[in-house]
This record gives sequence, C-alpha cells and structure tokens, in this order.
Amino acid sequence: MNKIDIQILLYFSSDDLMKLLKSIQVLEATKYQVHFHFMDQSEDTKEFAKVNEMVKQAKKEIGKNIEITMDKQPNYGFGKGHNEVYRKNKDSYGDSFIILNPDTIIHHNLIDNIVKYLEYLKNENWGLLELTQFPSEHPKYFDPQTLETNWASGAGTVINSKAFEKVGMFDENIFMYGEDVDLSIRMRMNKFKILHLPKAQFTHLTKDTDVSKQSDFTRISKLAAELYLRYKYAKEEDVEQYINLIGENDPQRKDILKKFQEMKKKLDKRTYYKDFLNSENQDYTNFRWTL
Amino acid sequence: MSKKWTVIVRTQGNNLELELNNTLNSLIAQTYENLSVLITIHSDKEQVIKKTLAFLKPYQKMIDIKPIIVKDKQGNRSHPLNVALKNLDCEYLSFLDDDDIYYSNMGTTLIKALEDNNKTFALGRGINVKQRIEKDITGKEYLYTVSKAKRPYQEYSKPLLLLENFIPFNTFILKSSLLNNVKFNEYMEFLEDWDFLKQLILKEEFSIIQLGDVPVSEYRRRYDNTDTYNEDNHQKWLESRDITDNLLKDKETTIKIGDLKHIRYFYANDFAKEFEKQRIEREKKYEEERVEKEKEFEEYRIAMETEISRISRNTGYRIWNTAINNKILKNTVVKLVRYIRGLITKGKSRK
Repeated sequence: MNKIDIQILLYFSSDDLMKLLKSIQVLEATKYQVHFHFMDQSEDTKEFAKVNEMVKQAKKEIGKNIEITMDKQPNYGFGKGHNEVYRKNKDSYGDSFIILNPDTIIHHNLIDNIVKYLEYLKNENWGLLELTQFPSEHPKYFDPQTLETNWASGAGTVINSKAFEKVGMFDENIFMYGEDVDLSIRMRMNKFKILHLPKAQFTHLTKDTDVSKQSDFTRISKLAAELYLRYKYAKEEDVEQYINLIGENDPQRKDILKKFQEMKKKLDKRTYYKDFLNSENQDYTNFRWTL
Repeated sequence: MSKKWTVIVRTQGNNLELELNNTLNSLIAQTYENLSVLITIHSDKEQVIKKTLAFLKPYQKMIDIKPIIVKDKQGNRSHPLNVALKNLDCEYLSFLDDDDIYYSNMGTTLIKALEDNNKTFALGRGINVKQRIEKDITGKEYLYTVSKAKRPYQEYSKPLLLLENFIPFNTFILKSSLLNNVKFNEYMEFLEDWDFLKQLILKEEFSIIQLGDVPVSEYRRRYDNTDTYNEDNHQKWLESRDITDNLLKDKETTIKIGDLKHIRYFYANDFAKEFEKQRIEREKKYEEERVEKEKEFEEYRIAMETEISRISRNTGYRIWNTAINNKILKNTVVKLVRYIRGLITKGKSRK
C-alpha cells in the first residue's frame, strides 16, 4: 500500500487543534496509508504537554490506515521548520508529502481525492500540487482546465520529494511569509509544473484574509519578504521601486527594511528570473477578486 | 455552555457532491460550539432520499445533523421550512440553502453581537459569488469561482424591508422567540424568505444589530437556469411578488419617519442601479427575442406568399378560383354538385 506523509508545524496551536484532530479521526483513507507528523515549535513546555495530550487522546480513535506522531523542535519558522521535519523523516516517505497548516479541518474525502490526482499525474513532471482552501478560497488565478497556476500556497500543498530536493527545499532565510512563492519560483525555473487541485479541499480557519486586521508582525514579515524576493529574482530598480511604494512615512518602514537587510545578508547568490515580475508568465498577484 | 443555534438547510437531494458538500463543510467549519443542523430532504423519490441520507453520514460524524424527510411535494420550497420550524428546539435560528455557504465566523460573530447588545436579530454582510461548472484534468466536474464581490451595503430599515427584498436569506441569525408562529407562505414559488421576514416584522418589531462590515456568507450563483431565480422564471418571480404585496396590503404598522430616508438611499445607491441594470438587460434580451421571432415570422410569411403565388399560376387552380369567385358559375357548380350527390343517394336507396 502506498503511503502519504503530512507535515504540520505547531506554534501555540492548541486552540485550533481540536477540530483538526477530530477531522483526522473521520478521515477516509482507503488506498493510502497516511502518517501525520506534528512538530511543535512553541518552545514552551506547558504548550507542548497540552498538544501532546490532545494528540494522544485523538490517537485512540483513528482509522486503521492512519498514524500520528508528535515531536518538538526549536522555533525555526515555517520554511526551515518544514525542511527539518522532512530531513528527519524523508527516508520513510513515499514519492511525495504534504505540508498543512494547523488551523485547518481536513475534509473526509481529501486524501482519496488527492490520490486520484496523484494517480492521474504519475507520468507528469509536477513539483507542487496546491490544495483548495475553503470557505475563503484563495483568489489566486489558476487555469480552470489545465489547473496550472503560478504559485502554490504553503497552507496546504502536496510536494514532489525529488523536485523539492532538486530545487533546494525551502529558503531558510525567510522566517515566515513568502517562502511558498519563493519555492514555487524555483520549481518553475526548473520546469516543474505547479497545479491547483479543485476537488481536494480543506477548511482553513484563516484569520488574516482581512488586510486591515493584520498584525504588525504579519505586515512587516510580508513586506520584507516582498523586498527579499525582488532582490533575489529581480533587478535593483525593482527593489527600489517597492521601497518607494512603502513610503517614507510608513510607521513600520524601519522594521520592514531592517528585516529585509537581515535576509539579504544571508543570501549567497542572486538569480535573475525574467518571468518573476512579468505579468504574463509569473504574476503572483493575479487575483480573480479582491474583497 | 453556549446557547443552542440551529441552522435549517433545505435540499432536494440534487448536486450533493458539487454543492451540498460545501454547505455542510461550511457548517463544520463554524467556530460557534453549540450548533445543530436540521436538514430537510424534500423529495418523493425513495432513491434520492436513500442517497442523500448516505451522503450525510461522514458529515454527521463531525457535527450534529438531523435529517427531516419531507415526502409530499405540496407547498413549493416553503413547505420543508415549515416542517423544520415545527421541530425547533433552540435559542437562535438561521437558514441556509444547499448551494450557499457560511463563513466560519457566522455564528460566533452574529450571536455575540445579539448577546452583547441584547438584540433579537443580527444581520451581517453577504458576498455575491459567480461560479461556473468546469471539468478538471481527470474529467471530474467542479465549481470554478469566477468572481466574488461584497453586496452593496444597505442599512436596515423597516419600511424598506416592507417594500424591497434587500436581506439575503443566509445573512442573519434571529432569536427563535421572534418566530411567534409565523410560517413560510406555501403558495409562493419565490421570495418566500422576504415574505417571512415581512410577516415577522409586522408581528413584532426587530431589535436589530447590523454588522455591515462583517462578511458572513456567500450567495452563490451560476447565472444560468440552475439558479433558483433565472430569466426563465422571471414571470413567476413577479407573481410571487404580487402575492406577498397583496397579502400584506391591508396590514397596518408603525414606522419611524427617520427610517424613510433609507428608502431614498436604496433607490439612489448601487442596489437600485444594479436592479435597474438587470431590468435593462432583461428587457434587452426580451427585445432581441421579439425581433428574432418577428424575423422568423416574416421569413415564414414570405415563404407562404411565394408558395401561394406559385400555386395561383397553375391553370387548374385558376379555373377553380374563377369559378368560386364568380356568382353565376359558383351557383352552377353548387347545383351540379348537389345533383351528383342526389344521384348517388338515390342509387344507394334503391339497393
């Protein structure tokens, strides 16, 4: 029987975890064995004990093809956190694995639907298969017939292991936000397809779709990542242009630039990618709607 | 323990995978804890009922879902709602059709607003969603979301509610004590939700809290004949509007003069413009159909005239036509026919 591994990073996620664990208990996995790898990055003993106990209780009532393990590691952030989980467990993985946010509910037929796509795509050169977020569907454009899209959201994505290693895994210079766009760019540069899977849905209990309610940390991280990606893949003038967009009077300008400089220093090599800001081929802000 | 919130979902067992799946997942996603779902399965076909009940099973493992089977086909879409109302045992109530969805904050936000402000009716903002059916790479059908847009904001006003249907069915939660034995009108094919709200407001004033900036639900349409309201049933929609207007025309109620300004606002803002746009598009479509039909008729008429002209040039027809149109000849022909018929009749009686 084939196996599919799902990596879930936790960071003070105990409030969200109950629904996710319940959905794992009712998950239908008829063709594949499913292994959930929970990794707590809270660096907090009480929080770890709490989530560990929740997982322990949930394990009592899971289906026969489901396995759950729980571990902890330092707070590496999103990209490095997933890289670490992958490094630790990859020998037991199949051809692909899934990264999933903890503030989610897995729909009962998610795995079976993913498997149908995997079987269909077995001879395709794909890198990332993005799952569909529900009920606030990501407004990003995808081709309704070929399902091709410019980037895959890290909230829920199937990753081709070989492709992941070939492109150098997640960029560990990015702590949080933008690492999924970065990985997608490198997948595309290496000719790996990125597809959106409309029938493979999961609920994402996202709180940050409303831009006006973003925390300072989220805004600073997102804007710093925007600058970093421009520095990494575009030209100096594109970086300057974006800094000008932030504006002299932005109250977080100093923090954004500081964070950008920190990431910039760690980057070994800039790689110009002509399609990065080309709206025809790589417009990662090509949205179907804005609310 | 939070107070019980019941959502009534009505389905006829169509599009289970494509639509009801989303409706139920949106209820599972609710962050409000004490939720129960009453789902009416309105069908007289055993196979449909059986299939729908089986479909519900995995969702029932996640939340409390009670199916109510409504076999008799009377009372249009209102009937199952009335059956569900008889089975109520909750503090808060709301409605959701099987092709729409709630956002996960629906219950928590609106019920908190009701409780914090001691109100009976909480209203959020709806999102209009345009979708179409597509087939993915495996050949499976799915709903592709073309666009989403917030519905134009309209401040609540009692006189406006009595005049216009501006509160979508899936954007509010009310205290069940407001119901007061009010039922959905089973003679109406459309607008039964609006009629229901009008009946409620005429019985007892809503004490309303409106969260105009909080999106709580999606009203999903495909803009084809699968929509409850579409171009083909516009006439029936108008008839339903007449029914609700006529039923309530002799009722009396008190309104605040200040609320009247919202009527002016409604007709001046996007709502009125949108309705006007739809009306113009509809009339344009009817006009195009009319022109098309006239064109077809004209072509038929010309074809017939050509045929008549061709026949009229035939010698036999011309003799016959001359005979028929000439009084003396006509009488002669008639007499001749009668004579021949008489001969035939005599011949028969001798036998």
